[in-house]
Amino acid sequence: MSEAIEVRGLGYRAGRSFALRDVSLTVPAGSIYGFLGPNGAGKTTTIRLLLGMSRREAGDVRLLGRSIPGELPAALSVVGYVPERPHVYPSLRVDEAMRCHAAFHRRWDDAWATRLQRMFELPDDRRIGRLSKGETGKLLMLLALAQRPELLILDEPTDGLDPMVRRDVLTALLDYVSESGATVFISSHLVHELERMCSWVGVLDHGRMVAELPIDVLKGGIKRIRLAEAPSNGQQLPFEVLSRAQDAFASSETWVVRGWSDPMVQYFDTAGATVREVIDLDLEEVFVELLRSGREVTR
Amino acid sequence: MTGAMTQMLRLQWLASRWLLLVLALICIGLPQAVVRLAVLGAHGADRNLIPAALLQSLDSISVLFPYLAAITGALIALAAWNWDHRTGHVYALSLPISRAEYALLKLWAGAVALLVPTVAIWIGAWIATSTVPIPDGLHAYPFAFGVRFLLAGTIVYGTMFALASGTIRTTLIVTIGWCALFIGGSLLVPWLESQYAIELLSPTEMLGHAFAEWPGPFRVFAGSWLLIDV
Repeated sequence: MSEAIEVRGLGYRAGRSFALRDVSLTVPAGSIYGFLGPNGAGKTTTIRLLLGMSRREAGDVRLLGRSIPGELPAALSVVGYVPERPHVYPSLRVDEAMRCHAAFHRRWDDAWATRLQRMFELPDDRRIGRLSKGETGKLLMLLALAQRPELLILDEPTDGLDPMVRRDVLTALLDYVSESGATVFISSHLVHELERMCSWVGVLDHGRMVAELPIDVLKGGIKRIRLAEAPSNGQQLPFEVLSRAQDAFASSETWVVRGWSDPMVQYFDTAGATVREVIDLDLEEVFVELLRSGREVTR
Repeated sequence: MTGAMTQMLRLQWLASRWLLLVLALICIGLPQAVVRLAVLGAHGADRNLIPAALLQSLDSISVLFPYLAAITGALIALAAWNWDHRTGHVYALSLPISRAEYALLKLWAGAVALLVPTVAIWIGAWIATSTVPIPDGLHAYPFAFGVRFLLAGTIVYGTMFALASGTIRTTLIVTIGWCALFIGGSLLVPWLESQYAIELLSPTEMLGHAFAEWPGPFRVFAGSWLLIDV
């Protein structure tokens, strides 16, 4: 099995204002897949559909080769899930939550759970409802990791956590991944955080997939180019122009292009333009440009 | 699965322990109060009529017991789902068991919790009937009374458990549907009968027959709930 998650033509409607339309994504086994999108894009809804928590209207979902919802219990036995909001009963104590979770997960690793609990400094006797946001985040990650999953589905696991807690949580996650080779599907709008750890990125906006690529291809292929005497619109271009704007204080234009490679400079030479600068974008800039161009196409 | 059953029982206990304590106290206390009040009421009667007066007096107060059984069953069912509703069922849905298995585990844990007030009412009934003088010809039935309480509680528990397992929307639809059937039936049938001079079977009566008469499940609530009888 080379794909940990396969989604084809996923469709779902929630009321009149929101719908997922024809969402397809493929998460290679062993990868860390960043699922990016602005607030309200449909990331949590997609995750709920992946885990069979909501009923889809169209499409197919397979987790680790198992069809959802047909083989849901078998799939969930090897999937660790950290939801956006705490889902564990707030009246339970930390040790009770761990015991309860262990009872339902055959692969639960008690020794490792205890080690993580010590590392995260989670007190045994504290009620979950009385834990701080950071402690709750750590507990949810502990529960997901100690069941030794083959696939981790994390819905904004570090959202609202302070940098120290975020580092602890992500370190534990990455340690587990490097040791077990598990696949991670992590949704977030904290782009910088994902840039450091992800090997694949999928971008969702307004219920549609805007892009899905290995992160180096995504970052390498999208460039900001400053041009003098830029060619006019309507010409055949060897790359896709995501945006173009006149510079304020110069007779030059700035283009953001997808599918760029260095030999393409020759195209501008033949078109009578001069390439002044080719700038690498970080993932956040790539993300913003993808959303902007996606929205212009939709309009 | 044994571990899961134990944990589910533990969750049920944590979610309903204070409720169970209050219900247990009421279940121990109510039979004492009812039997003592009935004995007090019967003392005003002619000495030869004491058994009949005691039964009459008991009969008038014992109506409280079916209500107590119904409330007990309903509250335990609601407590069983309370945490799931508060967390949007997300934890339950993320567990590697089917929804049916999860519901069965919860149903089982709630049914076990129902034993706490049942044992309490049995103890209360036993103390109440063994500490008052029972006239000749009458007998105390604390054990049978406890069994009846358990049956009645289980019926309401099962019904409420099924209702509370769904979303608030589903629960509202079912409740409104039943209300509409009852209210519509009780208004529409008499109107149709008077308009067209025909005799129709009211849905309210039909449902009443089906559910509250033998072998209907709610038959256990009907009749007298006497702790002391001939």
